[in-house]
Amino acid sequence: MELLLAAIVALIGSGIVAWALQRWPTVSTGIAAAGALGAAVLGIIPAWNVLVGSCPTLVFSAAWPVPGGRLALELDPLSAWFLFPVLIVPALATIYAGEALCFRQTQRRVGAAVFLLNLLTAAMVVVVVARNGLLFLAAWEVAAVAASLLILFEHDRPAAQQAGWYSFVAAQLGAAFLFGLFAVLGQHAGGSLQFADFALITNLTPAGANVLFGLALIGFGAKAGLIPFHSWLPPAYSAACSHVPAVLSGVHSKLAVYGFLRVLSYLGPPPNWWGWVLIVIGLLSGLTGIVLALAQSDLKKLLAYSSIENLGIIFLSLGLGLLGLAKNDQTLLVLGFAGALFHVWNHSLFKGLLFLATGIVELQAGTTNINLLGGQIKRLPWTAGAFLIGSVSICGLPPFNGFASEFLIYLTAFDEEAHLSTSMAVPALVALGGLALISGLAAVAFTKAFGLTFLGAPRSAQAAAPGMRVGWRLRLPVLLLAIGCYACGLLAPRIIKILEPVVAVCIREMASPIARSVNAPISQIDIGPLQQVVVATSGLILIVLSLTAIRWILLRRREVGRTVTWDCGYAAPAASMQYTGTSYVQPTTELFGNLVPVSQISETPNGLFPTSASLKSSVEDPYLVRFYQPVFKACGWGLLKLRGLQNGQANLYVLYVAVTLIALLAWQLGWSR
Amino acid sequence: MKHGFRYLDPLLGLILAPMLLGIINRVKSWFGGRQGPPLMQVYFDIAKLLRKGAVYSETTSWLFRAGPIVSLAAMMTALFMVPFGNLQAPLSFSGDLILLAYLLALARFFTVLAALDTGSAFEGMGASREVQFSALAEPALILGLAAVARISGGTLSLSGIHHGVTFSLWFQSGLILSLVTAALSVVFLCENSRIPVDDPNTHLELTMIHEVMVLDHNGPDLAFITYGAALKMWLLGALLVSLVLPAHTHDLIPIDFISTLVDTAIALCGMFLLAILTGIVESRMARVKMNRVPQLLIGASAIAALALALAVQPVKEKNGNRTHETQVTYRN
Repeated sequence: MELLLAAIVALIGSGIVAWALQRWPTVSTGIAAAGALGAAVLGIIPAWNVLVGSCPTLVFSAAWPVPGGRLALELDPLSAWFLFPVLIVPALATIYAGEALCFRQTQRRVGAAVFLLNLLTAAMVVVVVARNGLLFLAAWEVAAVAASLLILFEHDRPAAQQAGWYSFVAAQLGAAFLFGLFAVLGQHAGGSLQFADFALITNLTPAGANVLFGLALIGFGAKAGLIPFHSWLPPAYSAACSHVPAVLSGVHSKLAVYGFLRVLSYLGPPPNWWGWVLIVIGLLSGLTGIVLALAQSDLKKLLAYSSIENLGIIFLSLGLGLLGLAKNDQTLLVLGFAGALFHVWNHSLFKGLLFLATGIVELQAGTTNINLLGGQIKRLPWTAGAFLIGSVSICGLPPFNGFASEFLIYLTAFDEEAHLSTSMAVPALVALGGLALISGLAAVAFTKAFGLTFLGAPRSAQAAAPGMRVGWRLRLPVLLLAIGCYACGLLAPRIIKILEPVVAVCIREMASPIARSVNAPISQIDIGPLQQVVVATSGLILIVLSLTAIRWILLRRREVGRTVTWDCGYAAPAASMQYTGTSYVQPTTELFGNLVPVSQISETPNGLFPTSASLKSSVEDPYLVRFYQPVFKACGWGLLKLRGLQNGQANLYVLYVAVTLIALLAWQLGWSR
Repeated sequence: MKHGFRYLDPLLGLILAPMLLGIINRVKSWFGGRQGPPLMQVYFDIAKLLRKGAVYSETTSWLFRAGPIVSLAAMMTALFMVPFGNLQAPLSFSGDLILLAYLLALARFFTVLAALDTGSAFEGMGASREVQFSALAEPALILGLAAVARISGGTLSLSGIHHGVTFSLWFQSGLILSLVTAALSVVFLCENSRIPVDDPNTHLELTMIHEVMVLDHNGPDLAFITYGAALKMWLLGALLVSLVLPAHTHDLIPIDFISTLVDTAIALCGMFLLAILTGIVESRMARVKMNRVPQLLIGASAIAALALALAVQPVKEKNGNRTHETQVTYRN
């Protein structure tokens, strides 16, 4: 535990030093990166010990003057599982940030940016290990504020201002539900906010548990960006420099999954419909998220919506796990939770990778608009390769890690459908079909993301201009994450074994009172199928390699010519004739017209000799346009009316005080009678 | 089956798959009143292409060259999981049908990317349609297979389905099996870019899907693509045949070797029959309008979902019966 505390100190300390030295950007970012890397190493050691090694938990406890318990930290397998992405991805992002920020010519504030990044990481570490409600909420808030400030980093851009504001408001609204949640839990635990006391709560009525479940779902769902609490997320992820969304999407949003699991274990045995609710919200987020993702023409927004989709898949899997409880079958519960938790790791790897690679494209071409990009594979071969691996992984295709976790989720859904009674099997059935559709649509989104950004010919002058040299600090994190994607696919059976104690922490409380008391071992996951998958995918790679060799041998001595792309005899194909991102997905967006409102402004060619014609189309977030904006506008309008009360005249304020006092007096007198 | 025969199953597919395309072309020629190419024409084509050099567009990158390789490799890997006749698949595990669906998706992913790599509007259009249609076909495939898996023993494995589906199962739950067969037939036609979804003979605007995506490929790359397409047809065809013609003569013929031979022969006949049927469909039907294709595929997915929903019931009844029986025995 001392190592973990040292890691937190290293993060904050290096951040402060980096801030102080921000006149020398290279030194400043170097110190921050060194601090984050050192913290990652320091923190991984205890986390590894807890997950794989002998010691089950590490505890730290100290008295503090704050009411409601002690300063309690604990590192159990669940915390350790989340600690891995929380430490690794931001450390890589900090290395990347050093070069990216210097590239962007905003050297003045570089120190503040890396300080906030390290502060965010430190706060996330504390969130994961905190065992006191107030400490948890405090760290949660620090992380949220740091995230909002990071989004506001380029505050001279209107998009960043709006995004920072949205994310701040959403974080505070979400946190309000969490404050309520912990307050109620604390009340039931006799005024204590210690998690250890939450675990002993027995006086929770089913109705009370339902209320707490709802609070947790909204509070944590807002952070995860589950639909319909997601509208703040896409602008936030697309406004900031790429290393920020890499951390926010890859790691910060996963804290919602952590918090949800942690709280869920204090709510007693879950009723079936909780599983249903999670499945419905998960599917809704997955499907709407991916459809909106594929419609975006901004690469970062595409990734942001895909983040919503992936969080949806995680919650879907949790829901399937809970549904398994209906049959009192722990196997399904364990399988579903394992799928969800494995997907947490995987998503943090490939989404971190995709955002960082997008950032390199942005630095080179100055835009993330897919319709202006193209042909980047020639300028950025390494980045393109890594982005390809990320795309294949995120579509859940073999042989990478995305397939391993989606495979587990499929198995859970199918087993459930096979083992449960008819009515209970319906959600599982819907989940099967929904997952298949989501993965098909993910392929649309990511063939677009990769194909139209990196392949073909550049669609604009800025995408074609020779870019700057990409240094190792940009390239290394991206490549490491790509290797991680493959490694997690290859080692999936081992990782699932490691997951067993993690799942045990989540479900011990909900399985049954008997299991709780005797610390019964949880049922084991059958890793046979996953091992076979690894065999098959290794075979796939072997066949790819041998076919490559065959092709090379065949073409070695032959004539290999080069010419223009075949365009039915047209001699001068130009880059503007290519399909654009918008046209590529047009058939699909039309099919899902209700989910994706596309607004078009067109000027049609007129007359015999038309002079100009134009078409401008943009995709709106339906929830933002149809719900949040009207609601907030109405709130704003109502509050504007109240402004008349506050007109700056002191005598009027005295009158308010007097009126209030008299009203209170009248009310009190009326009450006592 | 003995271990020596384990790799006979993929080997059979690797050797015979191009024959299917030859049969289809022959049938279509017959309907068109022509003599048609020899049955072995696809083999000749592949052999010829493998002997050629190549020409690449200057727009393309290494991905254009990797596309055909990855697609073919995915098909070959998938072949190891699909049982045929009485030959066992070398790889069989719970969930292999998901891996099969995802290997098909991987192949498609790379074909689409290779098409986009040329920067041609034609190939962009083909890619755009391909991803849309396959996204809609994927639920039909997975739900359909899950429905059969459900009634044929409850393991999510292609080999389990293959051995679980028998003629007696057709009598028991023929409705489900016919629904799934209908859904998978649509998937078969769509995935193999056949009429009524796509026209394999042209790459022009009206039909631009699969053929237009491989417009710029030539030489050994095109050989890989043609061979991969043949293998894909074999894969999906073998699934359909093991549903519709579940020949298991093991009980009728006591000698292991002969029953295996007979089963495999029946399955082979089934494959050739399927090719002939595909040829007839292509000769007798027109391609549906492009904007109707999603309806066709969504329909197939709906049918597959219905099959799965129905498949949930029988086991419950069976369980009910079983508990009833145990109660009876308890009373006795």
